[in-house]
Amino acid sequence: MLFYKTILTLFIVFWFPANIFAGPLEEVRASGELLWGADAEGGAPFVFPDPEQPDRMIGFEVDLADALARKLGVTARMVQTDWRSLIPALQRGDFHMALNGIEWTEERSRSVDLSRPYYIYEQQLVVRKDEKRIRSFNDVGGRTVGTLDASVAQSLLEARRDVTLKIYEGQVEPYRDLELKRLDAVFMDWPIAAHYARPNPNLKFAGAPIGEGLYVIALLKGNEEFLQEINRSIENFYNDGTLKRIYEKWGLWNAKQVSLRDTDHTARKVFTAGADIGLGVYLPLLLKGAGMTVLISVLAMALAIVFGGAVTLTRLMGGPILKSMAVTYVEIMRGTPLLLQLYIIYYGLPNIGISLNAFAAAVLGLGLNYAAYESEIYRAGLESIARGQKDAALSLGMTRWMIYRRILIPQARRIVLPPVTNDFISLFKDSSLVSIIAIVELTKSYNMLAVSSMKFLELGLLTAALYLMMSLPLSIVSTRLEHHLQTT
Amino acid sequence: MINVSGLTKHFGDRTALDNIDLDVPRGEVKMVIGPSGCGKSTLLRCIGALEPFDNGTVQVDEICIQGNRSHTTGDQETLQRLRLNTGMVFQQFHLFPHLTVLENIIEAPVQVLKIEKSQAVQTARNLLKQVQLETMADRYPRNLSGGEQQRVAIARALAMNPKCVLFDEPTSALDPEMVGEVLSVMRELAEQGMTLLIATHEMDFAQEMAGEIFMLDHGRVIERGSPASLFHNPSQERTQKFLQRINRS
Repeated sequence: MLFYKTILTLFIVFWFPANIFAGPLEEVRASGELLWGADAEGGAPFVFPDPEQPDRMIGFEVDLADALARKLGVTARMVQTDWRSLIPALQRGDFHMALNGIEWTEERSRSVDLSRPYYIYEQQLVVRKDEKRIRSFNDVGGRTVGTLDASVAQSLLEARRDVTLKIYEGQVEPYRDLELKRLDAVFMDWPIAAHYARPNPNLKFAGAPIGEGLYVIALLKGNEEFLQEINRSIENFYNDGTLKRIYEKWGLWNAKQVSLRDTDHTARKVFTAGADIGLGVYLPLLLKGAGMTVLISVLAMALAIVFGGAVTLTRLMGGPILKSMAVTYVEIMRGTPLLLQLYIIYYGLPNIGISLNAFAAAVLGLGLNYAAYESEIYRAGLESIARGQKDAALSLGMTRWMIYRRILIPQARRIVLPPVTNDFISLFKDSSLVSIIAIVELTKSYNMLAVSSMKFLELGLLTAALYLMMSLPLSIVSTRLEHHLQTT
Repeated sequence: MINVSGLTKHFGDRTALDNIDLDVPRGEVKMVIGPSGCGKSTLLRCIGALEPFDNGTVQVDEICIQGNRSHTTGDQETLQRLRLNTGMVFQQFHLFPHLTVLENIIEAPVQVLKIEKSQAVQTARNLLKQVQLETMADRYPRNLSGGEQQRVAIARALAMNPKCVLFDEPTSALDPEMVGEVLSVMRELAEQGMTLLIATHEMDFAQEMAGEIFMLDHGRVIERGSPASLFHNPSQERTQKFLQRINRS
């Protein structure tokens, strides 16, 4: 009995206030705050830190959220959330609405309620100033094109099947890579192009915008009253010129927006869920990502082992200058985040004329970072070998280098094997970080598929299983090898 | 063959070896005795060029090294040639655990002296026969008893064809029943005319084999002489006390 009571209490505590009796509208009014989810990392002109006052968020969506809150008689407060997680976070109850360049799609309308549109956007192709071959979207066949993760532009490009896609998290990086000639073109939402590419003298628009779509506000499913309230407000904003004023302020107003008045409940068209696609459909895509994960991890680990060994020997055998260089290297690589190092290698080095492709940057970044850890493991391993071994070898007339090569390193090998395997397994997992430089490995594949299908749990478990299938054999091989080394 | 003069070594402000003079002519056996911590090991390590010293000289055959605070700044080639002249056997054996008995013995001859492997193996097998371990060639050190390991270590040192061998308390880490087998190998070496310098606590062995004994205390040679004079008529009270304590235990 007590058990059921406990369950009931927990149920009430966690569900009752947010979801059952009080709807979001009541909650907003009661708390005096309209919480809206957005990702400031996505950038201008949507939501971004004010360059002059970086603790303040500005952008056309901030203006819109403020207007909506005023209409409800409350204040708006933004909840910073990773863009890909906006919908799951909304469903979890982190905020009342997600307002951040969310495109209306049929798939999305199945999992959340979508408001009437507040902006009509199109996709704009951008190329370098000197580009002659690519004049419009029709010309991108066979080219490398960058776009934003889980966007409509991505689907349009994928539908062509003849384009090499590079998927980005942020809006600035694709244009940067375009300038650096890592890309032939960038295809993204018009407001992004208007804000970032239009003022850039090295870039130009190619052709007219295409692929009309609607930005909508996502709300938790099933709160008709709240949805109507939001829809009414947007309609009012159109009629009283509020929207036009906001968009003109941000350089986003264009003739297209006139049809906002008539684009009423397009967004509300609710499709009955179609036949569910089995997980099997996703498997090949995930396996492709897994292949990339394996390739990057293995190459990075090979680099880490070789370079880490070199660092160790430099530290143990080099003169004082070399020694302190090796120590500095290890401290810097261990003391700064891998993510930062990847950013610097991929986006920073081009500033001094070193432009690496994403794959090379990923292998180099991971490899150089892990080399620092490897070298510390090797050093510990070598130093753990009894001093007498070195004495015996010295007394036999062996040189220092010979002693390392023939006596100390072979013995250290078995000592360092378990920690090195451990490192390899964590490198496997850390390899997911390279998705920030537009590499589609396993975690990235998962993210992309999960966002578009909303199967966060099912695909998540499948992805976890794939990771385990890769790391478990590694553990087993290592155990065997360790055993083998001990008996020989 | 071995000539030490004025050897002085400090560890920080502690004097580990204080102005030591010692010599071992070719083909003779001399021993160093003294309480633990008296400097026996340090002395042997200095002679074997495993440890730098501050003052004095160490000469082995034609090779001479001077006191120098650090080995790394010294003349590496001279140090190495001195080490090649000098075989060394340690209290804790220090066999290479990742190599078999045979590999332990041929490692340095092949790597350092660049001797043909087949020839090195032949020599190694003969040496193993000499220390009565010819059946153990393919075992790993961890599968050998302490006495067997020490005999392999002796064979390993001999494989380099040294001009003399330094023994640093070779039986101190052994169970009593294994001491005899190691001593008999050493006895055989002495009888073959090898120049030996042995640090030891085995007084019976010293009495039987040593041409001259050096009594070391607090880093100084406090007494030297033949076994007969040192054991039966020690001139120093310190030597007397030390011998009494050894005999009681």
